[in-house]
Amino acid sequence: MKRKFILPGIVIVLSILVTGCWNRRELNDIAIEVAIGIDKSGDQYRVTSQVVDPGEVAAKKGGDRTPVITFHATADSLFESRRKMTTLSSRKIYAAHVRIVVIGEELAREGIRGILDYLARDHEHRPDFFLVVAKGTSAENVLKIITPLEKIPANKLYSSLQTSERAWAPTTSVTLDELISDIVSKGKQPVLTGLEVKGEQEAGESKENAQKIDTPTQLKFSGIGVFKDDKLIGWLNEPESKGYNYLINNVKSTVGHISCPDGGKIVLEAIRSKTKVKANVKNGEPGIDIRIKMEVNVGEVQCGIDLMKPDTIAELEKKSEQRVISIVQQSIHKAQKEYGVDIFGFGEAMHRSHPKYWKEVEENWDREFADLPVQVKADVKVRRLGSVGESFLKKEKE
Amino acid sequence: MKRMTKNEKITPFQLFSLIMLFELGTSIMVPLGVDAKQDAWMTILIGMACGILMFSIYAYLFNRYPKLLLTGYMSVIFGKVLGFILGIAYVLFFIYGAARDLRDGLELLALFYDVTPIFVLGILMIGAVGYALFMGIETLGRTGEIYFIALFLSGITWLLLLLFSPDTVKINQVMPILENGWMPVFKTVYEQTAMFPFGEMICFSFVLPFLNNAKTGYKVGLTAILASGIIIALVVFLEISVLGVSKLQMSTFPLLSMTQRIRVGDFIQRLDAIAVAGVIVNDFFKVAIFSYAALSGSSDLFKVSKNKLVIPIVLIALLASLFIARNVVAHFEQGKFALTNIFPIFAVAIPFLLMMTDLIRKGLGYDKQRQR
Repeated sequence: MKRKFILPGIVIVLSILVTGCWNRRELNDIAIEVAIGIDKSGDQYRVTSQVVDPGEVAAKKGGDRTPVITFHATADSLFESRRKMTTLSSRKIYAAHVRIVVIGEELAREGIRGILDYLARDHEHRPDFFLVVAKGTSAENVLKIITPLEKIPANKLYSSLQTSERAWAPTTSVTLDELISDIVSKGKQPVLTGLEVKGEQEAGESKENAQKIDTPTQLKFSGIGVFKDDKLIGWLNEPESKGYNYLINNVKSTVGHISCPDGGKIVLEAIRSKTKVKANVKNGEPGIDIRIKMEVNVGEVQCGIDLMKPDTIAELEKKSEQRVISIVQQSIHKAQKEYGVDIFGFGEAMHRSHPKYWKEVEENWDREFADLPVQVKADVKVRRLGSVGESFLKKEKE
Repeated sequence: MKRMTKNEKITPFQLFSLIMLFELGTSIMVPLGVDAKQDAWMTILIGMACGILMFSIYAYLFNRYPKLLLTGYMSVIFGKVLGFILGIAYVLFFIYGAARDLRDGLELLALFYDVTPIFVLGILMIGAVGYALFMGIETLGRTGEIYFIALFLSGITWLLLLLFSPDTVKINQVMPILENGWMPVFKTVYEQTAMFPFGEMICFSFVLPFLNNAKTGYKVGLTAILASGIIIALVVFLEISVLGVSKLQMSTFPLLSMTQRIRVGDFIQRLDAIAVAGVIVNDFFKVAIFSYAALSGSSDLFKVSKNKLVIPIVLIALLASLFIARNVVAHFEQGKFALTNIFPIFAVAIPFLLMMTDLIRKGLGYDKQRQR
């Protein structure tokens, strides 16, 4: 008798509850945010949200309006300013699809500590977006630029950061987790890639920017920003940024040239690269050993060199080893002498292999780092010559 | 003493599945042993060793009284009055355990259902538990078997996806091993991992008597503890190498943070919803087994049929889970207190005393009349 009532009762109650309509948000009630820009405005934060206009992105339609819209709000905290945006936007902003967070250079120089907790804590954010610094401009300006090729500027930034990292290696994509653990860690200081507006700001803001063949205003990644704790203190230029990527074992592929014995250049493409960082302590003196192993292909020859001789190849290998070492040393030098911060994580390597020594120097590691002797060794192997064996330049000479 | 009236039986593999689900239940989702920093995985293996010792005590008692529940042989060994009082204490302890684990699961869900009151989520969860209890241990065992196989296969898939995600697992983050010596490791074992989850195995003294082949009990339990310990240690090891120690210590539910990192070929990603589902299934079994222990304990003590007690026990567990802690911080803080002060009494002290008393009684020849 009892059973008769219990089972249907449970079924009815469950079917009402399990539908999950408690806090539902329909797709047409939300504004999908793809990029967040954060700037300083006095004591407050000025937050810019780049939101997709779904009608414009749709495959068939697309009219006179821009594919994305930005909303701005200024408030004492990030969370407040983001909710304040509802006074501008007809829909609540939904942050799960954010691809990139841009931090204005001014804010980066003052310290970014205040903004990171919110990004990590709010469960709506998925921690797979990248963070970059707007170099020499504000985040707001960056997010206003219309981009060609990709309709949504945030997507262009996201893929262009990944592509450049993979194929040229002067940029490094940093996720929120990595940034936070670098700030917390005593043995590694954080970095963020810089993002520049190339061309006139005004021209880039209108839709015409994407209507010309030669886009007047473009967004360009350039160089890596060096942080001390949470404050931006300077920039690495392109070769130094590449050296940085070598040092943190983040080079997937890149291209570099060496000079031929009798003038001209040979360009090599790195197809595999692996860096091992080893920390050691000898007689109480710390030191770092770096070994870079690379496999390269010949990509371009601009001189009459005889590629078919094994000796030439050996010569090439030696020269490119020297070249890699000099790139790497250049960026170590800059970090040690100019900025005095350990962005390469040598401290963490020390912590892992010599925990006892690390305990002694932990507190003033950056000072130790500035005078740390670093040994760089490279081992380059030329594997293939591409689809042409000997260059026609050689034939021409004969 | 009351014998098991119903002829409910579970197979050794069902017992194995239940133990696995129980052990992995909540322990796999919370940051376990992180006070020992990058050596957290070691604390779990040592905790497991302690767990095997504890289980040996329970198994000894089970082998001596294969037909009786914990409450049953307690009144044989300690006498009727003391046995009854301790029995009540055990029932309360099991209800508390069920409430704690229910709350753990609810806090996890509340992270995603941030506006839904946890009361509503709690009703749904405890409703399922209550239904399972009505159906009895046999049904629970069969369900456990199915879910264990399903979770095991999805766990393997999960592991493979994690290993195939580029730049995700960085083994060198577990270095340096034993940076501060063994002390922090043992301290963490004492404060956490010995009792949680391995000390909670005491619940199974209410399940073991249903095993269709009593001789396999010890072996099955041991295998399950070993397997679950190794799995938890592996998960924690991966958590350290994926998240790093600092992020691991900051994270409330590191298993989720780790699952969010899975990213294979830009299309297998954001698997956290699946991970939550798996963890909640585990949690269901943990709550169910704790409540089952409370249920059969009280029905044995008060000689009331089990089905009459299901609703009261389940309701008490639900209300307790909502009222034991005002917020998530208080909940975790109380957990630390319970693990060092309450759990050792029920998981180690009383069973140990039972075993010693029983050994002495045997030595004095007391049990001649009741051993057949």
